[in-house]
Amino acid sequence: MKKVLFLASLMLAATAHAQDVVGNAAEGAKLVATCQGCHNMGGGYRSSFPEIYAVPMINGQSAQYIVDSLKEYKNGNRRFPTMRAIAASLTDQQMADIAAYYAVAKGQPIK
Amino acid sequence: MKKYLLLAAASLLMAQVASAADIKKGEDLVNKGGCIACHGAGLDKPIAPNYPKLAGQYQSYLFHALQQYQAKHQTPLYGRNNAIMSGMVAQYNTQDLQDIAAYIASLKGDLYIRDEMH
Repeated sequence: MKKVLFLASLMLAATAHAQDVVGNAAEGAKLVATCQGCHNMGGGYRSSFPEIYAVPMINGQSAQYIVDSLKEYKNGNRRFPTMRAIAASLTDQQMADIAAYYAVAKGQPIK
Repeated sequence: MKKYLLLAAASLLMAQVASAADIKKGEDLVNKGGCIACHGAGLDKPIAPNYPKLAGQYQSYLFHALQQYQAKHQTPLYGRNNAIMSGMVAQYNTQDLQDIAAYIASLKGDLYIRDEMH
């Protein structure tokens, strides 16, 4: 019983640690070169797979939503080959930094 | 020949009308669907940071995302598996999703394109 409790507390600690990742917008700004060509095009860059649609605007988006989306591409809950490949290359810290960058409101400086 | 061209033009026009999105109908569907319960007032003030802002997002992307939630995992390359959104979109047909996307895209919101590059 003690062992189980110990294991459970270890798992809780691990979860808590994962949530401790804090994003930094300035660090994120160094990482978004790959993202901008699709996600920051006025009028919308168009993806042609599996149908033609405008790639979403993500400046001003909720930070946690961006992190969650990246993780879902990485773990396969969201299926889209381009985003899966990109998300799979990112660490949790990088995801948080990118999310912090994109969450900056319109007209606000990146810092 | 002229007659055929005219017929072709007319049928093209009708096809466009048939698939055109109806913003007003989309508004009704969004209100009835209770989307603001999570996505917040004006679909721009999510009640929790893990929910996205939707207002003003591109119409074609919104439609695409809604369809993906409906598809779940039909192919290895397509679909989104999300318990909440799959449940929300199950009741709608394709035209409904077009209308919903058109309405949400017509709203003003916080999403924007950043002018300066780094």
